[in-house]
Amino acid sequence: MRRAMVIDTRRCVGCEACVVACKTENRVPEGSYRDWVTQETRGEYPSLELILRSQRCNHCSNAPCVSNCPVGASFYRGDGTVQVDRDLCTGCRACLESCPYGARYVTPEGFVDKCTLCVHRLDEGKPTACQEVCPTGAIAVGDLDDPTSLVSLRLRRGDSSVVAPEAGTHPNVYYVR
Amino acid sequence: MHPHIEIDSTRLAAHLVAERVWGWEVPVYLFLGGLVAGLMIAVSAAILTLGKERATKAMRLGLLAAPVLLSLGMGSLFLDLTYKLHVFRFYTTVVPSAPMSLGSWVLMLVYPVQLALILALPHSMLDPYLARVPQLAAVRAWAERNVGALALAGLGLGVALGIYTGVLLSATVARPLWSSGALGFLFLASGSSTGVALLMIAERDHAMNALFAKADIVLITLELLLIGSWIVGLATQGPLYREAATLLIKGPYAPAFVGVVVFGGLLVPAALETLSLRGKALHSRWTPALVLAGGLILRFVIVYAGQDVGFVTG
Repeated sequence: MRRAMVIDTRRCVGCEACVVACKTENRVPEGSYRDWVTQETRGEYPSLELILRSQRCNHCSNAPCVSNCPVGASFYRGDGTVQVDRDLCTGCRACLESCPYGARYVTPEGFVDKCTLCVHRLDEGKPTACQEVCPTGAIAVGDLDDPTSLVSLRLRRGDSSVVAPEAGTHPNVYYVR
Repeated sequence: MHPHIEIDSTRLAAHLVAERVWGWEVPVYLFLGGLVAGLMIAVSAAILTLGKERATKAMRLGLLAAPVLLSLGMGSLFLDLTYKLHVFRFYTTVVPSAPMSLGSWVLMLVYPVQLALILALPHSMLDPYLARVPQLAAVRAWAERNVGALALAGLGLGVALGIYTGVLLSATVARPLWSSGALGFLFLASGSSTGVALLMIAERDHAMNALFAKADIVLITLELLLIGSWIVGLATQGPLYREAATLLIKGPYAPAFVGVVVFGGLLVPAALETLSLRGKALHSRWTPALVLAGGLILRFVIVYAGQDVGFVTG
């Protein structure tokens, strides 16, 4: 299994419901975010293009946060997602320095946390919190190894891209335009 | 021409993106780690090439200072941890891909070699106290017999420690300024130079001071070449890397980097050491002090500036 997320930026309206749902579901502390919405405006008036992206940890296949963690607290789960074992974390923040997306934060308790792709929900057959509340159905989560999954279908249908591919991390969160 | 791009985000609105992850503790640790590496390299090289009989009082003091300085550095790193209770986790695993893990184990090897080297050399201040511990006599006899092997180990571990302090940054991927293989060697050269500089401050023997000055000039030259290759490498990699290099050359860090590090910490001391060797200037302890200050500021500039440019802005 290779879990991935595909976000259709043509459907996203930037309502930030995903941000609020994630904070509530995962009790994300004040001042920190596991996901956030980026609003990118390109071009010059009157030829402007607006791209809205709901961003989070990219659960990279070549994650520098995992390779640089000195205690093995950041690790790949069997489903391809990147997770943090808070019982091992020392709070050295080498992973924060290694993440090109700034997807991690330090909790008030001192350990590092980030988006888990709501694996606690996925394992129970539920959608991720952000996927469940998205009013336009922009967010899809599924198995890339399953050709009939929504993520595989979406990736086959349109032009997809990842954030900062030049970092060489092979993200598993894709954006369709 | 690049199209105009404007980015806003939830996090930017909350002013969360510009926060610096690593503060003063990390550059202080990198400086002290490099300084200790330099001390070990300089003293070990002197023992191997000149013999342990030629080890001066300054070198023996340098050996005594090394574990103290290293402990201060590790204390600084401990202060940086946000989950301090888990510090022991560094020593319950080895992660070959993580420089911080490998470095933690190198530090654990450095201490016993330093202590064995201390025991292998005579110390007028320490010897009466050591004599009161009869159990140490056998260890000391072993260290004295194997001083050559210990110096070789000290040299190797010093080089490993010096390189590690730079590779710790260059392995992170996310920081374009640190993305260079030259950084490990730059920190090794800089650490060696600061180690030699500390010995020069304590050294009373004129001939040995001249030898240290010659070594320091070579190390400073290497450092300048490595800084050059690092900056040129960044400037030719792409826009993001160029932006990172610009921070040091004409951006907000330029006064500290060009003025204090390159000019005050490298060029001026190298010139003064050259003049001193030619008999045109008196040897001054201020010259190695400039090298030490330059080495400290170099690490602050690199750690701070490196965190100012990243792959994403939103």
